[in-house]
Amino acid sequence: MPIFTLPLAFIGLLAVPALIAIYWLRNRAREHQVSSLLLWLDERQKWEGGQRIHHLQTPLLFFLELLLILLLVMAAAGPKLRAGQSGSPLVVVLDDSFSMLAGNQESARTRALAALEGELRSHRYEPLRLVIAGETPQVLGEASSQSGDAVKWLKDWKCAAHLAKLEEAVAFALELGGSRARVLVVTDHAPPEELHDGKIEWWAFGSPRPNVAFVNATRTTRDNQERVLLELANLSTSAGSTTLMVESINASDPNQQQSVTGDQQINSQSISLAAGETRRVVFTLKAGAPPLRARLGSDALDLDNLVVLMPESNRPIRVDLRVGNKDLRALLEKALQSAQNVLMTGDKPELVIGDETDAGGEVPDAWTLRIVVEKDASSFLGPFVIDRSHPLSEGLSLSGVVWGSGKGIQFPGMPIITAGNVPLLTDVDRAGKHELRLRLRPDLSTLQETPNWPILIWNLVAWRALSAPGLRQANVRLGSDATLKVEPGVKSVTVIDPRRRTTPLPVYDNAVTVKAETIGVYDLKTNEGQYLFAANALQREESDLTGAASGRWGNWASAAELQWEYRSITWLLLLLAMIVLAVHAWLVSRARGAR
Amino acid sequence: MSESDRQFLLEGERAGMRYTLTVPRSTASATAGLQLGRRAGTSLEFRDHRDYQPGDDVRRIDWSAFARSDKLIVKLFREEISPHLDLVLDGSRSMALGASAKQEAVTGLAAILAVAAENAGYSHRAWLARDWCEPVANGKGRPSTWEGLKFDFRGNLGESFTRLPPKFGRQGMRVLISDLLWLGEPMTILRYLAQGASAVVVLQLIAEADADPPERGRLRLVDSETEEQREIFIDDAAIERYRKALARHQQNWHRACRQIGAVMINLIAEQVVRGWNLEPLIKAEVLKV
Repeated sequence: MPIFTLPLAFIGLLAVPALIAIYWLRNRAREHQVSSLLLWLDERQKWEGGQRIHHLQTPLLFFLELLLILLLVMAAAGPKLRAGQSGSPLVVVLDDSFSMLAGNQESARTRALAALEGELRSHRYEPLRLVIAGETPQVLGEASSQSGDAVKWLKDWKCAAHLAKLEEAVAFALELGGSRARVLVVTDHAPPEELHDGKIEWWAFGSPRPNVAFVNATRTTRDNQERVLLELANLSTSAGSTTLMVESINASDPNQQQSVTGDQQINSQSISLAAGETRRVVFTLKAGAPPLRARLGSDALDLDNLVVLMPESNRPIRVDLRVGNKDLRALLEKALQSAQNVLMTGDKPELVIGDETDAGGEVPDAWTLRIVVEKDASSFLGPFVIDRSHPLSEGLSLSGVVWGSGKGIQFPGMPIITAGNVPLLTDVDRAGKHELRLRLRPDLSTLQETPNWPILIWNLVAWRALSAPGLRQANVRLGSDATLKVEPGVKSVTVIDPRRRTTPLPVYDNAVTVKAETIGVYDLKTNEGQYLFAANALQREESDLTGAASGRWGNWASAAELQWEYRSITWLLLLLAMIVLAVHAWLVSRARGAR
Repeated sequence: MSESDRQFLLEGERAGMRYTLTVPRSTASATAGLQLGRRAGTSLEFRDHRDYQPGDDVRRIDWSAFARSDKLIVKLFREEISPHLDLVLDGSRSMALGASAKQEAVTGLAAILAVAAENAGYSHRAWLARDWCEPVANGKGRPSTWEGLKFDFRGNLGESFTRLPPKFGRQGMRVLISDLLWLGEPMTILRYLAQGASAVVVLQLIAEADADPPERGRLRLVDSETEEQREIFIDDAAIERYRKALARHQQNWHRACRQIGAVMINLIAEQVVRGWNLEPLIKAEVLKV
């Protein structure tokens, strides 16, 4: 049965009685008395002879006109018919967050797979698309009309993401599927708001479960020892207990989840937690300790019960201080000592700090900070203009600072700090190698007496350290990026993910960024070395299963479905109307010719 | 008889006072009274001699001529006939066609002719052809005294004459007033009219609607006499065919009238009653002012 999107157009059917009235009035014979039919006899005979034609033509024209009116009215009413035997388009949005795995054998993913397979086998959808809803929506497989293909692709739905941005995925699915497509969202929780538009059905297969999970884990090196912080949360409405086991693991196979020979237990304790409580466990290790594995007792979601913490890289920045001015040198040494991981050495320095007394040659790949102490100088009280986007300006506050400097020498490069039109600190970037110039007369300044001085030096060392080869972080949260700086000349990095899949990545700007999409330890290999980092599921929102729910929301069978499942046949009715019109015109012209 | 018919008769009577009846030249002249008959008759006016034939009135033998020639010769005198008008009115329903002036015209015209006949010294008698031809009550008198004029006959005039023809006056003038709209041979009644007539005048009186059907479109035509109905779509072409059929019908009657020496005059009822315009009759020398 067709449906009509504009039933108001049926008012046009009033033309039907009007047409009937016209024909009735036109064909109604008026009575007229004549003296005799004698002289009309010939005409009457002609009439009777042609009567068949008239009686045939007039009703035919009438019915054609009636048909024309009906066709036009129906066309105006926006008729839509079911799209025949072809299936309707469907885009399935799959929640890829790891909370879908809660419940193990009875997980939301398992139940969703069973329901989806049943749905896809019992209904025909064409085309059918699968969209994985993680941090960004991704198409899984290809558009297909075969339910078997879709079921096969569903096996690649791993539910390993740290979050699922379902709203973005639904928007993407609607765009991908087109105006007629239905969207089916498969997840483990209820929709954030009621579904009204009829385009979306929301199937949830989750169950509220208690869960104790790691929500934070860090490993930092300070003062020749490593500090380990583990945060556990009881994400349930009732008190619970679990066991915590921390052990050092073999660096050669850090992805081994169970204890093996050689692993050394470091910490083991039973922890009782109140409902919703978060507990911190802190302990220290000697510097250079091997990777650690922390495990909690088994519960609804195992993914968040395991944390691997790799040792952070602690390689110092090699700084060569070539300053002859004693006062200035003392200030710099003091500031450098306050900074982390600085090794004062003249051997292969990565950062050279000098002044006009510096007679040393240029060091390849080393950054330089040249401090210019001019005789003709004056004290600037401000205001100072600071480029806040530059790494060196982070945390600087020059309010109340007296900055003594000259202004006779022109500094090249981009100004970072200026006093009026006098650049005090500038930066020249030479293909990743930075040349910094600082204009300072300590005897006319109060800068060195304020926190801004050590901050400035700290920023310099930290900035240089960021550009040094090596991993920025050895432990990242699932879904975060891990950046590896490599030596100049390295073209690619081989990435081996926790599933042992190897992927070569090209190097851009001496760096490679790897997105941690799977929990476990990633192995990055270059020609010059190996770097390991661990990705851990530390998402409180995903580990919190109290909001999980089961049910179905939305209804494709609502009014909006009609716009999706039905196709307009207005064009067909208009075509038929034109044909009827042509036949009508032909009959009329033929009748005129006959007379 | 309706009051309107009486009124029409009075109007005709008044209109007819201006006219006298004459015999059209084109007809076989027959005198009546003031007119001399064509045949030998009993009048005193000598006309001719001829040889005696057995059966002749012996009183007409011209004995003087017998004495001179020894031959029996008979004197012939013109026949003396009384001038008389027989008016035959078509009593069919078509003469009282609704929305036309036919009834008014036929009644008034008959009155005019009767009065004109009186003015010319003619006696007259009115006949009404219905189921048969019957004399109109007081049909010999003034038209205003006529009774029983009814135009309700559903048959045709030929049938009326066949059933019972009028007893026309001998050697009289006979005038038929009818629309002549029936299917039949004109000679059927013209033969009756011409027999023993001094002159025959046929007045075809039709309505304007008969001459020029005014309406177009789909009509259900009802025969005023038979009430037979026919649905007809009338357009210009149909009207044209009707006119041609009417012309053929009138030509047929004219031809028949010429055969018997009758005069046929076509009249439109509405034009007749419009001031009783009788110009066609004057032109045809049926009436004289």
